[in-house]
Amino acid sequence: MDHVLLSGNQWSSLYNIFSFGLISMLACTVYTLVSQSRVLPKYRSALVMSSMVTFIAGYHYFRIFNSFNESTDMDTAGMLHTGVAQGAFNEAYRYVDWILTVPLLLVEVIAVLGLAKAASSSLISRLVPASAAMIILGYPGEISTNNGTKVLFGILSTLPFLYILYVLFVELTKSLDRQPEGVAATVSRLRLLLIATWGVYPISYLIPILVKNPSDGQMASLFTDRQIGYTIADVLAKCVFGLTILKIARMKSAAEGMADADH
Amino acid sequence: MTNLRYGGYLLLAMGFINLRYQTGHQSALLHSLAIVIPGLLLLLATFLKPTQEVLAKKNIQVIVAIIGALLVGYSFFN
Repeated sequence: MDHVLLSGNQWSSLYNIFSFGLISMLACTVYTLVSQSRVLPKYRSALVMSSMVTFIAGYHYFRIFNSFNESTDMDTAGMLHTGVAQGAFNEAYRYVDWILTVPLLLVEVIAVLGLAKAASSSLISRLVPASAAMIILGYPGEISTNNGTKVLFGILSTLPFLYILYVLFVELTKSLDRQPEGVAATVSRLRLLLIATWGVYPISYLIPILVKNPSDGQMASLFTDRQIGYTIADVLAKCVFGLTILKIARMKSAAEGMADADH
Repeated sequence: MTNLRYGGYLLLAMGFINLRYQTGHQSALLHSLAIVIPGLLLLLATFLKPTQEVLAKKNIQVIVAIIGALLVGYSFFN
């Protein structure tokens, strides 16, 4: 993004949504860390991964927040020019966060299920490269100003996404038979949460393709909506996802005889 | 060892995010490499047999944790 002209309300909305993203990630990090003792030791690595994901994302939001503040200048008419002052604001930076955290989110799911080593290694060795490929292939499209390139890389990054869905919904289902009562249902909800939240990203990606020759006002609205959409999706995909992982770990700990797992 | 591995990954991740946001700033690369390199070394050390033995010692783990915490702090303020 070179430069976008925001109204006071749009700028305040973004300021608030980035603050919300930052504090949600940090609060979730603390909560999953202090909840370690509420689950059996074998499920704690899944919680540590969840803490890492939200902490890395929290740090990313701290940087986004600073970058957004520093790159804005106000003109004499009171309009806010973002991307012109110190540094530059670029939503493509989010890809650095995603490539570091999305593979970990998928590993969390496998870790919390406590599957046999062979089954877990097989799932991880397929899900991690697929998730990395999905993000790497999306990046050239995100930074391109050419719609043809955007569509091409959009399609290419959808292929690993579909593969991830296949592994999660077909392959993983076979491994859920021996899970305690309620866990399979919670894992199913977790997968739906993943689809719902990950679905926001391609929609945000497609918006610039669908709007032809936008005016300054439309550019500002698109930019604001995209940042709000990405941030809400991030909070759901990382915080709510992490809290669901904690819930599964507690259910499994209780089923395996941990006395205080229901507290 | 797993927690040290996570720590190494965390430093590596924070260093990379730090690098992206410092683009255009003076000494950007050096500031970020100060976080990336220790993270990378720690991550590698957790996979090598000789260094695994060193990292298994309690006092070494405390030192690594202190340095790691300082680097995390540095990543917020540099």
